[in-house]
Amino acid sequence: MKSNNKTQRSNGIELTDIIIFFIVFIIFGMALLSFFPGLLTSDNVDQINQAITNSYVNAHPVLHSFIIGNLTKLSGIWVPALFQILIFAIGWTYCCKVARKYNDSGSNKIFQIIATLAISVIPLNFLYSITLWKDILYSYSFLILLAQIYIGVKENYKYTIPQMILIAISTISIMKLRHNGVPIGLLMFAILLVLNFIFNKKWKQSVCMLITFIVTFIVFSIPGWTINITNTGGTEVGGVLDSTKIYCMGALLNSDIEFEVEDLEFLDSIFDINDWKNLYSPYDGTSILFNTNLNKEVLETEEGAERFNEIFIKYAKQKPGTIIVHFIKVNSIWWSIKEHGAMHSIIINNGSVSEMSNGIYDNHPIWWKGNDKLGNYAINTLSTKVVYNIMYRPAVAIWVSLITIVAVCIKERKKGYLLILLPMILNIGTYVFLMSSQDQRYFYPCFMTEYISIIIFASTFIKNEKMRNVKINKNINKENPKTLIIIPAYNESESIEKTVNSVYDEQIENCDVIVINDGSKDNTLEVAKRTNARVIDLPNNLGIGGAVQTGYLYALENDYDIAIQIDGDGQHNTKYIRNVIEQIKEGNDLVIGSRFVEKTNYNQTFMRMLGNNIISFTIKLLTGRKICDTTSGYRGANKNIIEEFAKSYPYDYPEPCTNMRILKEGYKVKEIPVMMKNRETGVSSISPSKAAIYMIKVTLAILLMGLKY
Amino acid sequence: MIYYFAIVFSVFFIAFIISLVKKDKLDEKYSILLLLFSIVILIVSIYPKIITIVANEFSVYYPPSLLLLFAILILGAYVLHITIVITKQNKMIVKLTQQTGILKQRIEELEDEEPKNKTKNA
Repeated sequence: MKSNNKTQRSNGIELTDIIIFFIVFIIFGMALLSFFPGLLTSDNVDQINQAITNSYVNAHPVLHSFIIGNLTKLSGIWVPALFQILIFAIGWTYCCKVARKYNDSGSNKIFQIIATLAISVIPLNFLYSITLWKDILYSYSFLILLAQIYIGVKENYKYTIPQMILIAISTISIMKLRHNGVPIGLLMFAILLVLNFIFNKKWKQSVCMLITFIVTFIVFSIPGWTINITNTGGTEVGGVLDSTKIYCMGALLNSDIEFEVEDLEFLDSIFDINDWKNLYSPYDGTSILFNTNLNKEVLETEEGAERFNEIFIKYAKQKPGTIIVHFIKVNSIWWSIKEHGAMHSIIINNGSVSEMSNGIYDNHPIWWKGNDKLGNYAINTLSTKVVYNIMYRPAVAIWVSLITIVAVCIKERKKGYLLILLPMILNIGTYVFLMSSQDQRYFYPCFMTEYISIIIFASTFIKNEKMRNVKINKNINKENPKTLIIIPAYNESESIEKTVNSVYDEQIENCDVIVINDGSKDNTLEVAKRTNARVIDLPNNLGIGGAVQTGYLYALENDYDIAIQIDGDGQHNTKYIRNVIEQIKEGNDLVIGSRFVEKTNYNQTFMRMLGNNIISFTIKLLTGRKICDTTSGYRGANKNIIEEFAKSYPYDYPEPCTNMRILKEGYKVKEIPVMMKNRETGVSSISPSKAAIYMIKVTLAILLMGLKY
Repeated sequence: MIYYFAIVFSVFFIAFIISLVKKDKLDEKYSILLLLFSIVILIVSIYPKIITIVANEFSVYYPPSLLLLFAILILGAYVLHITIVITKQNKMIVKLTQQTGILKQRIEELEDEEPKNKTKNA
């Protein structure tokens, strides 16, 4: 029973999701603060520079550059940093939801493995395609562990084999990707292990986890398989000197170039030459960059930076191949070397990249074509394996993820998942635009498309929530439900008697009629009391919403199974009441008598038609479901809905707003065709002249309601 | 001259609010915001230099505009506060009306039943 209640309360976004979101937000924020000295990595610094100089020419997604750059201009570094974290948190919350879904569903083992893989690559794709952020892999592994801990809470830390592998891989990635990852990775793995042991009290599974970890560690330790991501962030010195240069200098020192004595002396003042040679590794510059003996003060002065740069360019020209190896790993080296002419000499030295000298690629994203050329050069001069290691592995991850996403799409028959690919596709589109022209105007559609794709992604995140459980109907007395007909009446003395009598003429079993006199000024009350119907006399005029809600309150208090509201003006044909009751018996929660499902002879002005269509479209936009007649006051509700309506019911524009809300909460709504007579007496609550204003107000009200639910 | 007027005005305003509260014509909780507001006016009119100092801090070119800005902000906050109170009260009124209607119907029903019972007993 408890679980039933839980499913019934499930709204669009559950509380747990919000909690995950904030946990991710806070933890990732802390991770950023503690791991990245400058909060943002070198890529982001690049992007910000692009925005400030108004020259979006790099390989980074332009809109992202535009947004974080301009945010920095306006408000300093904190806001873009938060923006990054926000994007990450959204992506990750989505992944946690997918993870939970597959853990709940009883799909077969193989598919579970595929799905687990998909979970692990979708955010990578998404985030990488938005940010092109190299440290994303690290942060991402960090969060895989967090997600597994989250899933563990639900499952008492009982992990399946694919989950164990995922845990092991992510732990090892954390340990290997960054210099300070070892303690964090081990700590998190130990926490998982201990939790698993405490909650399961089965040493077998803990041992299994440990073995998985060790095996994965060994597999990942085989040279050539290791994921080595080079760190570049941290030590930007006025944009002139890139941190990459510092460890590229290590490569030059290790090569067979003969350095001049005064140059060596200068370099020695920055970092001990022998250490420089010893600590240099072709894959990882962190041991030099984060060494406490590295004397950054020399580099931070303008003279020192200039001098270092001169020395670097001087020897880089002599040994261009060394620089290319680093270039393939870290694109940003291109910019710093090219500015000072060193790249030009590379181009002259090697025929296969000579095209670079004619200036064609000067302002183009280098990884578009330049990477190919330099890659070819590298393949010719270096071993293929090294190039593969440093260049293509991220691409493999992306291809794997593409395949898994498509697999999930086919399996689940949900095209929505394909939208995840959109950011990637649009990014490629952006570069096509950039290739064709350097005209600044081309950037604006790119800005639009990229971030529209993010919005679409976010909307799929919300839409997936609609796959929530079907509401459980409260046990309706199916044979003979107690029915209440609610008739709100305001100054309807002429038609109320006829309406009530026509309901009684239908002779529905176990049915009561209640007339709600909404503080009428004429003798509606007396007329209503003459009939057999019960009458509630409200002392004030509450408006249609308040009056109808009174009826639902009455239905709730007197334990009715079905409540049907009809207008008191005689427009609604009572012969459809039976149909409404039938539909509710069949398990629909809310039944709407609609004028437009089938063509009826109801007299409809153009303005009203337009207004109704716009409201209907708004509701479709917010809920994904279509209601033809949004303003119909001919509605039948079962017990669930009676409870909802008694709890809260808007006083203005009640029908469209409540229709939207009921759809959003996931109840079953059915429209049945009804014929409506044209008004006999009285004045409609919506006069045609006010239809336009009414429509605008209702649309705004519905949009505001959308925030609530 | 205008400063003296402002001082006198704010003193009177404070006295007026306090007297309203005394006579039970104004709730204490609504009076607090108004009292704070008038005390601020009083302080500013006694030491007009405050405006210049604050304006310099916020690098506002024309100090009196800062005064106007704050006045508008405070009034806006007060209006919002009152609107929230009205919404709350409106909901209460609707609930009361509905319950009154339902109770009235119930009483009438019981009154209808009672004479029948009496006649039966008799």
